Amino acid sequence: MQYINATIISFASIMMFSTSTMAKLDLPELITKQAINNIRFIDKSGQFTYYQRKSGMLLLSSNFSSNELISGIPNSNYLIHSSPSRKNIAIEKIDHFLDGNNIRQSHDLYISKFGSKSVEKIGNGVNPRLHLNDQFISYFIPRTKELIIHSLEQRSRKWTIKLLNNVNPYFSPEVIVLNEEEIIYTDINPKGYSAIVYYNTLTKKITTYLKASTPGSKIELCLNDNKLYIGQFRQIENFGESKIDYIDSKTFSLKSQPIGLYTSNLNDTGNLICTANKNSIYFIQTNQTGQRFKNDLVELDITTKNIKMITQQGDITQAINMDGRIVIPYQGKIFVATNNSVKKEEEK
Amino acid sequence: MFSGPTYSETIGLIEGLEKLISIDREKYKNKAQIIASNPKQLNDLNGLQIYMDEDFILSLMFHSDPNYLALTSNDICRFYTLLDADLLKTANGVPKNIMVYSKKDETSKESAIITKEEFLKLTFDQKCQKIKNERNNFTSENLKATISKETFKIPTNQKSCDENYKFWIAYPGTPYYCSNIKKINAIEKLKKKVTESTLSARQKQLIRSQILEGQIAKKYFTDDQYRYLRHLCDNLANRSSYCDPYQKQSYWNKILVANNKMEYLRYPCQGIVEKNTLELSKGDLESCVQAINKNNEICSFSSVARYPSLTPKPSCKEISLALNNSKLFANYKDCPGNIDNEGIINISRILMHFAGKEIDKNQTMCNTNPSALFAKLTLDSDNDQAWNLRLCYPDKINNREACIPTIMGQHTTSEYSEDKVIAEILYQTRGTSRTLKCNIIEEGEYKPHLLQYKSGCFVIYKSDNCSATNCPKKIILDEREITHIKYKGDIFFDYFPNSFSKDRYSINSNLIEQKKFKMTQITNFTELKRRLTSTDPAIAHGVGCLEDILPNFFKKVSFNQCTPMAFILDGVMQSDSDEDDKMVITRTALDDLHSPRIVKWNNIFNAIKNFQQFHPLNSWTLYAIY
Repeated sequence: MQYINATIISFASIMMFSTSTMAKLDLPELITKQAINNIRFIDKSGQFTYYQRKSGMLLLSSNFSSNELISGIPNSNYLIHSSPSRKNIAIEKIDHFLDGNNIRQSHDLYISKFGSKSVEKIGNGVNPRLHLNDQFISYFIPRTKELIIHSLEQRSRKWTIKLLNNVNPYFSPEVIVLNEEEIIYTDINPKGYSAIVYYNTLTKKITTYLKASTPGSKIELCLNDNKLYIGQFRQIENFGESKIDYIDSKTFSLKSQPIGLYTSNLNDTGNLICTANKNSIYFIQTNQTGQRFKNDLVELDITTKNIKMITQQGDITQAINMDGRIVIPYQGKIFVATNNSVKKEEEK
Repeated sequence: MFSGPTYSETIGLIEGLEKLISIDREKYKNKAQIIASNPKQLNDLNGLQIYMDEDFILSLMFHSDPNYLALTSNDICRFYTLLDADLLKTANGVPKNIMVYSKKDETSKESAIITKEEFLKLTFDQKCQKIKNERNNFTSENLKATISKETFKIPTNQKSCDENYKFWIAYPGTPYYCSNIKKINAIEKLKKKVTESTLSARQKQLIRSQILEGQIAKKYFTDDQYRYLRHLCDNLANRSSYCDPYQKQSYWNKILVANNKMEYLRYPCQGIVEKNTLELSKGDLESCVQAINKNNEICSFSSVARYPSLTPKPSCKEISLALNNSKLFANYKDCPGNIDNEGIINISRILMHFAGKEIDKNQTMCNTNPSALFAKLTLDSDNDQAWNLRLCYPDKINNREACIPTIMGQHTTSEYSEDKVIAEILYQTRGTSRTLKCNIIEEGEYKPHLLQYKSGCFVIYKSDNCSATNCPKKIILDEREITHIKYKGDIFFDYFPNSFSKDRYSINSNLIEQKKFKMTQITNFTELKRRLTSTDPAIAHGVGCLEDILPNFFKKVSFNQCTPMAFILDGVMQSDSDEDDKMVITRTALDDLHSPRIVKWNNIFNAIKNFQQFHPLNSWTLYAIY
């Protein structure tokens, strides 16, 4: 294990990677000066830190100053989403985080320029995502099962897509805006088959592009560097088929055939990350040892198709890409799986 | 009397076994001849202590079915019971006569042959009063009543199977049950035998009477009871072989056989056999179980439209395995997808578990019953902060706004049922009849041009914008819209205390105060296992990050993302060969009540630990409740 020397200093936080003996994973633990559970986003340079307070406020810390962005009721919770374009961030404000008890409640959604002190409310829903060089935003309204996509520059350019799904009340679609005319998203048909659906904003026509081969599979979409990665992972039992394919997003058509990258006869957890770097994608893979099934974060090299185990713990559930840094929340702590930004610092 | 035989030949070799049988037969024959040569009557033995001849006993032990011998338990009375039930055999078959001896003194010994009935009169009837009474329960007059009182419990896991096995071994009535099963089993064989030409008329008559006995016995048992007892009687000597089919048998087969916990079958089968009613016929249920056994994935999307929950549900095998290790009372149905409040779902499941009673199977009750239970708990605890949903109207007499707590939808017994509350308000404000009933109907059903809608009270909602906690409605009374009744309030509550000052307003505190439940914090698997494998109805409940409990379904995309989700744990599984392979039977509040998931303990631990970081009091939120 390497002890990473670089420290990135910002006014509100000093972020360090510690090889603390308390770390459960064989990875450096992410430690910050302020309570890490208050932090919601740290950009890769460490220049901007978004954090919240128990009072319900979201703040931005940068350049030795701290600014209130959004105020809320006590114990409000914020989720921040960024994209590799790093022009905007999308903010989801969950007012009744602890006492709402309603996973399908829509929340106030905001947009803000990256590192800016001003925010703008753009709608009400869940899972805001930025697309196409941060020019578009999408979000989902669970109660009405509507997917909303609109331009951030021309607000009138807005599309509302009603999902077909009526088998899973807790389903939230994945969305990719390929270009200003073409959107693809995931949906589920009445028999439980997941599918990638194509929507043309000019013709308003909806067409199924790809349907899962068996019901009870989830489809994940991830776009990076003109490659659209498609992950299919079964959600029933331990055996089935997991696969990751990709297509060229620039030349996408309804006849595009996915190119295989990875398959497994075990049901991987999935949770694809493709935007951390151009050469690899990361996901939670399932391996079998005897009668036990173990889940770990792996890195798939898209050129060689080799798999590298990032963790060997056996019970990893999630990994998050925070502005190029992949972190793993594990047993109350945060561990750093990859840190491309720090590598750049070291290279300097 | 029960010491082992002292054969001079080698015991245990196959070649030796035939020889042993032959030796015993010869010995028996010789003994019988000796005794017969000096016959004694019963009167000759009057006043003397009677003992069963040792060689006779050995012959019985040697030739009888080991399954029946397993019932003797070194208890002479149990041994006599087997004799009485015709379950023991000598070299000559089921004995009608018993070789006995009596002792006048230490040196002299008189042998005799008496009938079985005489022998039992002198021994069983005198020494075994307790078991003798049991025998009366199995006479032809009383057998039917005895069977109707019997539960024929189906074991659901290893522990319950061990207990079940021990019960039947110890139960004095078991030999009599097995005797009846033996008679039933013999029917077909005897029917063939009676046609043999070599038999005398007397022999044929005897066989016919045995067939008749078997046929009479058959009438007393249902097919399921017969199968249950046949399996028992065939495996009395081997607990593993007795329990093995129950462990491996699908949960569905078990409940079909036991005719117990049928709700676990009715609700999914309603979708599988595509019927609109829950009152499915035996044929429907059997077809359904066949379909389940053939298609492992049929359970994942069955009945999802009627009872919305997180899908895909687990496969049929996983559900079966989970239910075999589950103890949550679930003889009803709820609909998480229609409630929109996971805390209410979880709490109502806990309340139903400890109440342990059935509820109205009316489908609309699956929407309203969780709210009714929750509202009652909180309002009885004076926690109106938790249940703040109410209908308000202008109280002109007191010149203020008056409000009555309500639940969304119609509930047959709850005082907070929306239709009852609206009717009450109309009585207060419009002087309508006390007997006025308000009908809650979906927008598409309301047809004002029809006569039936010209008068009366109708409360109309839109189904696509309606949940148990938020469902705005239009109230129509005699064709006129009522606008002075307003829906107010929201449902926000702390599941576990989120602050010291508001501790008593948390639902967990309400459960302790109002229902007198005990709670113990659970921080490790060993403690969880101890609680959940105990015979009491203890279960565990908690709150953790949903994305860690079910990572295959929910993904974290933002830093420090965590969706708090209530869940119930009601069983554990741990591999014998790998101690670290720990699984828990889990129902999140999103899951179908009858489709628990088998989740890694480490995932649960991770979920609670991660949630702890966001909790204002840094609380560990997993408790056993009992």
